[in-house]
Amino acid sequence: MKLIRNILLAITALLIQTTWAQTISVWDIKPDFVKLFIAYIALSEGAVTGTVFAFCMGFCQDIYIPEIFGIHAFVNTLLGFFLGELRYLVSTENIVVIGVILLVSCALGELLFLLLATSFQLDYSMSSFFKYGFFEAVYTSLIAVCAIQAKQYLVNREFLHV
Amino acid sequence: MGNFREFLFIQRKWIVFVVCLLLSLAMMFMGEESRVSFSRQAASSILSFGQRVFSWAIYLTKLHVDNVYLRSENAKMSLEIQKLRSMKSENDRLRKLAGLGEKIDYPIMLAGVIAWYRNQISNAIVLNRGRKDGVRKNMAVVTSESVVGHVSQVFRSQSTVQLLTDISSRISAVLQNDESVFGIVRWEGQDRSNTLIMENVSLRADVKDGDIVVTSGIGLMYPGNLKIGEVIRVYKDKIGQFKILDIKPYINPENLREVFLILDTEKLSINREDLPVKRTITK
Repeated sequence: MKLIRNILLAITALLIQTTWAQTISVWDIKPDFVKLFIAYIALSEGAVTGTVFAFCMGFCQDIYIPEIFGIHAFVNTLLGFFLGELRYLVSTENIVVIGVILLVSCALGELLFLLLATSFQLDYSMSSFFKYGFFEAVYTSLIAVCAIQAKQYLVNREFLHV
Repeated sequence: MGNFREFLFIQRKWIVFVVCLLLSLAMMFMGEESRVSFSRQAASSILSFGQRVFSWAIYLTKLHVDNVYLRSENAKMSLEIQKLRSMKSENDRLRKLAGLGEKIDYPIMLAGVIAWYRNQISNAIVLNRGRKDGVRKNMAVVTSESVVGHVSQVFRSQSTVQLLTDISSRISAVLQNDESVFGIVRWEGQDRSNTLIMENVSLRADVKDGDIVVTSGIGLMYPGNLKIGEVIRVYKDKIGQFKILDIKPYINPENLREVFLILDTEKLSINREDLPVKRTITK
């Protein structure tokens, strides 16, 4: 049951990323719901599930862009695995810790993606990263923090049971 | 056997990690191979349905605004059509007199945009038309305002369009008011702005801000004389041998909802007398 729920959530994250994410972009900076979901699944389920989901989602992102086929899958696999490993090392209850983990992992993921996609053109990758990639990581982690806060609020008000 | 199973279970984390990494590395190096075509088709079919449903919600939210706009446009267009009909008959008559023959009419197909893939490297959209609708690779995609890009991948019921604002996109172009000013238009991508650049423009070319850039018609992908954008800056390249033009394209990928596919691109190779570059050569 949990697996089906996670698969449905993964598909939803992918669909939101390719459709609605455009409409909530700020100065052309949009959140990355795929990385957000990978962080969620890896931190809650561990490295094995995190890696498998991350790879599959990366693959789905890659299918439409043959020029960079495999790069999303590669970057997401790394993210899924290392975030899954972090699960036992840090407190995933602390909202600040979650925010920082997401910020760092999204930023590193974006930088690695740019480096691989540009065949390690450092100038291009760095300028692109500091103009957009970093702020996308900030946007994504802010959304994660807001989502956790909202969930906490609903739990406290007994609208939601966990 | 039991030990091996135990080993697999204990090391499953690393096994999964290494397998996924190797698979993604293999994908990176294999390119577009038939080995992955089945899985790509399957994944795209799954996503296609969802993307249609999700993009429908976006359409609904914009429906009222679109409706008001379209009503006013409709009124304007009706008047325009009247004017154009009389101009067409006049044009046909004059073309016959000049011995130019029939002008090319491109068969087009309307397609809806169901997903967007945008980052600093790639800009692609996914259309709700695919192989079963007659879409083929490299078909030109346009809107009523300008060129959008070309079909880069075709699936059964959807297709991917590589936009002009994609780092690997190249298109030969000329100025609308001076067809001798020729260059290659591409997107730099770095600042992810919509700005395109036109390179290899002769230093002697008389170009100014506001000039309109259109497709040259060279190559069989795009018909000639389709608008690309407007010149917003003119400057020399690093060596000082050519001019570079900054172009503001007429398309905005985020606002693309419907596009037209030009179905019969092969026709361009047969009847090219109307294309601007051809005219320049025969002068």
